[in-house]
Amino acid sequence: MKKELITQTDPKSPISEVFRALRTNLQFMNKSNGCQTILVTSTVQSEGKSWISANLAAAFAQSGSRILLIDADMRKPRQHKIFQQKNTPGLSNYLSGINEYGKRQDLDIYDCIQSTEVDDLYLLPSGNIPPNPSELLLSNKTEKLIKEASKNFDVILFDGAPCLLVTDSTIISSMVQSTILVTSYKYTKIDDLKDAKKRIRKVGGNIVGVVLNRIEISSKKYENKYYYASNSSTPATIPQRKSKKIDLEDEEHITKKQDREIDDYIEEKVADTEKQIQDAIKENKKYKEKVDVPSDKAKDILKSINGYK
Amino acid sequence: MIDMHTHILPQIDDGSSSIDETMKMIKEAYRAGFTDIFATSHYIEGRYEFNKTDRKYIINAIQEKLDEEEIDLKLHIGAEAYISSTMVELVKNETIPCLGSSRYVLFELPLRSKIFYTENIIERLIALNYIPIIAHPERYDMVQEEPEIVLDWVRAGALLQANFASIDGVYGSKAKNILLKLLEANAIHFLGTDTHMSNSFYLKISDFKEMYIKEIGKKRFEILTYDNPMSVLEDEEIDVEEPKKIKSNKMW
Repeated sequence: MKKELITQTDPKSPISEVFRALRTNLQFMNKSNGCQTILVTSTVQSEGKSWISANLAAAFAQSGSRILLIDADMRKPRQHKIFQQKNTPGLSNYLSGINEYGKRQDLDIYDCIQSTEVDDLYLLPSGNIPPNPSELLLSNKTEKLIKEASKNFDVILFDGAPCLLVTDSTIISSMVQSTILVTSYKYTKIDDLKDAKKRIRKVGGNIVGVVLNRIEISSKKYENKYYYASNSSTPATIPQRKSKKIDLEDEEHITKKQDREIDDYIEEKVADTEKQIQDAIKENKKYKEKVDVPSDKAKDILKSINGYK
Repeated sequence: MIDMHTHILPQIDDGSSSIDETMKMIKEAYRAGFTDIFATSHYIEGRYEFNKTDRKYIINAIQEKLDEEEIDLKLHIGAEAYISSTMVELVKNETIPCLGSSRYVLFELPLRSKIFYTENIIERLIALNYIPIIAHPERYDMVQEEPEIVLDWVRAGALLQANFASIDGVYGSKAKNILLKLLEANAIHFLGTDTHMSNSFYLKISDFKEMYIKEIGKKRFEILTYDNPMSVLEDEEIDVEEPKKIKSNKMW
């Protein structure tokens, strides 16, 4: 696993904390209880959207959500590198019906999805670089993909191409519930951001927030306050990048179609929930009958306490 | 005095690393004048997940050792829960324990990042008849940037627990300044040491106490370190005065 997957490799770092906060803010916006679909995109290249998507995905997985990360940047894919997986077969192969060897083949999405080293995090890589990504995304197979994956995942997160360069992400934004725009401190131009916002709004996309990436934070501030115990002798490492959520807007601009989809999810989920409640009641009865016993880890601690002196 | 916030249980979180250290910490606390300690080890999903049952067993085992050594100090169960979308559920199904046998729930926010649902959590806890206590507000970036938000939390029904050492600038001068303002606004309801190791804050309690008494007087100090915590132990409600306006400071 690569070091840049910091939420996973260093969960205690303040950067990981920021990703968990971003995740939880997003979880609170999901009012439907169904599968949550999110697009992460940026205005232009090199603002850090793939890094943010990967780490946000890991943060979701850590909270116990089954998440599908889709590398929808079919022009400059990066997720397979971050997760050190192969890039084919992937999204382009599924959408085009052409397999990784250039032969016609209708693939099932589960032929293309790979599990990763992060529990509960699954990757749909971008696949072979196609000549016409926008056209592929416009096909009804994209919606079919979302629908199919919604059955098995709690969250679907798209890492989309920058939306000012090509229309790929604008297309996806109209199919997902929430879109997040990644910007880079002292790099993203405000006019570009406005332009991106306009494009996404125009197709009915719902921008729920902007992530400001690469904020400089002084090492002093970090050392002063991060550690719980001030007299800790561990030296603090200085983070290179930090993300911060700066703006949230009320949910709006959900298209009629998405509205219907959400209704379908709710119906499906209500049925599911009812079953879960019945199961939970059964489970709870079993639990109550059982005497409370400490976990194995607690037993080890108890052993050492009892051995004291 | 009663310590509202400690990481004194061994090997549960980033606090005490062994039973030896735990016993050392407890003795330090006893010498510093504490008679009761809430063991509020972290509960952070995916990282520190010892549930109520585990904690009960561990506390009972340590209490036995204290009784054997005739140390007249009582440990009480608790947790410092990390705010999340599922935290309320975990409190409700008794995975995360309340403080003692009360309805009071201690929880913390991320230190560095801004979150938008704190009031939502407070409201949900109160709707379920719990009383939320927010740990060390003075240490959060979001409070340091915008101190008035704590007034919204208090108005929504949350109580606030400050860290003893904040008054000495241990968590930075910003945290210290905010603490002084919150004390002045009457918005702090408890003090806790947030001790993570031996040879640390308990040795400086008398210095901290002096500083607090200088700021808020002896009577108020006793309310924060004894009367209010006692109400938690007895599961009684605390009379909360409407906090005063927080004095603005041109520096921010």
